[in-house]
Amino acid sequence: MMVHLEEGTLQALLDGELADIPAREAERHLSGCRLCSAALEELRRASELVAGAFALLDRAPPRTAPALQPPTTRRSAWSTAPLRRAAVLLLTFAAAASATIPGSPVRDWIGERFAPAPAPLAVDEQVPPRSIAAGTGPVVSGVSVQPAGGRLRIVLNGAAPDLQVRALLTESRLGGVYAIGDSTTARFSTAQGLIEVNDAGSGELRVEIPYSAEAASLVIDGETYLMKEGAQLHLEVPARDSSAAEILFEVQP
Amino acid sequence: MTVQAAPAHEGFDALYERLQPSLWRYVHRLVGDADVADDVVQEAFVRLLKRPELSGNAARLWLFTVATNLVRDRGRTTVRRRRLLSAVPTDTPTVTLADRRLEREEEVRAVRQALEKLSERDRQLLMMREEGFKYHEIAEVVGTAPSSIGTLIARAAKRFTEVYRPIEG
Repeated sequence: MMVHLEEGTLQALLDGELADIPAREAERHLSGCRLCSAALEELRRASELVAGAFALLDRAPPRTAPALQPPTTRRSAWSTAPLRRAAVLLLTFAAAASATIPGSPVRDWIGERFAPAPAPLAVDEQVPPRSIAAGTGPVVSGVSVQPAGGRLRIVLNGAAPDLQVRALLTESRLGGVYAIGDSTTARFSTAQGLIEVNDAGSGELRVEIPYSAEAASLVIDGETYLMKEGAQLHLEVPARDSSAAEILFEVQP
Repeated sequence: MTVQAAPAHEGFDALYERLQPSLWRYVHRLVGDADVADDVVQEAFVRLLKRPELSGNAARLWLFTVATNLVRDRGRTTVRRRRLLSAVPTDTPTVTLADRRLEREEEVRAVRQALEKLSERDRQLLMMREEGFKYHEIAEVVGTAPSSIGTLIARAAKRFTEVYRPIEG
């Protein structure tokens, strides 16, 4: 009697989680078993549906520089907290005393501050777009796809000559392109392992390439700008800025 | 020029630059609220400051674990559920056609509604898998045996396909 592959084994095969020998055994079984092949295909379709649906939720994350600082290892021998508290108390008493004097600036300020507010103006019900810290404009959602067969191809057509592209490697299984600022004129389309971006204006595009992709390329108006081979990104044009895992460059006129 | 993937010794700033986008996306997908995602990601990184011994993949897994727990703590309120259903991505009104915006809102709402019908564990399993975590890492966060992750993911994905009704384009 033929023993079929368990659902968990098929899913692990799909996710590249089976070790070499079990994976080879599973593939051997699949080559002669329609039932398991159909089950694998069903799991693949479900995974693709999940990936596509989740990608619809995405928008570019805010690019905020870390305002957090590691805690200092040295401590002052004198704590300034009591002094600060005393200063605040002193100022509070002084302000309260001043507020009782007619014509004092503090009294005037309180009068203005707590005067009845004017009737609110009618506002647009649209929520204003969130700004990113880099000051490059509002964030607008982009698209993301899974690499197909380990390969991801990103194609830009009709990009503005001063469009900035920020390319980075990500641990996510998905590759993505997000339009920011004036580049929000961009129109996106996707296919298996492919993102196509048309008519991006002169803002910024954030291009995310998964570490796990075996190969990836970014082609702008027919020219290859960026390639990922193995664990490295290769940029074919001068970079404006770069860090450990991120490159910023401009589309060449 | 060439950029190396996964630098061997990265400082806090580099770690933040590398991990913040995917952590933010993960949390945003889970909660559907950009403000909550901001708060959770910030809190997770603040806590990481107190664990200077963590780096590389260990720091990544630790951050996602902390963020998942923070989301879980927040998720016990009904407020979050209302936000989850109503949250839609913000678009730029000046450049986006109203039709496109409406269509996108409907697409997002359909996904959110389907996610609401999944258990918290199913959502985490699928989202961590999408972020590229290995089964043994997901098992650590979810609190189950690595050998059962494949089956759990397969079932979660099937449940999602049963309840998700994509908007026809």
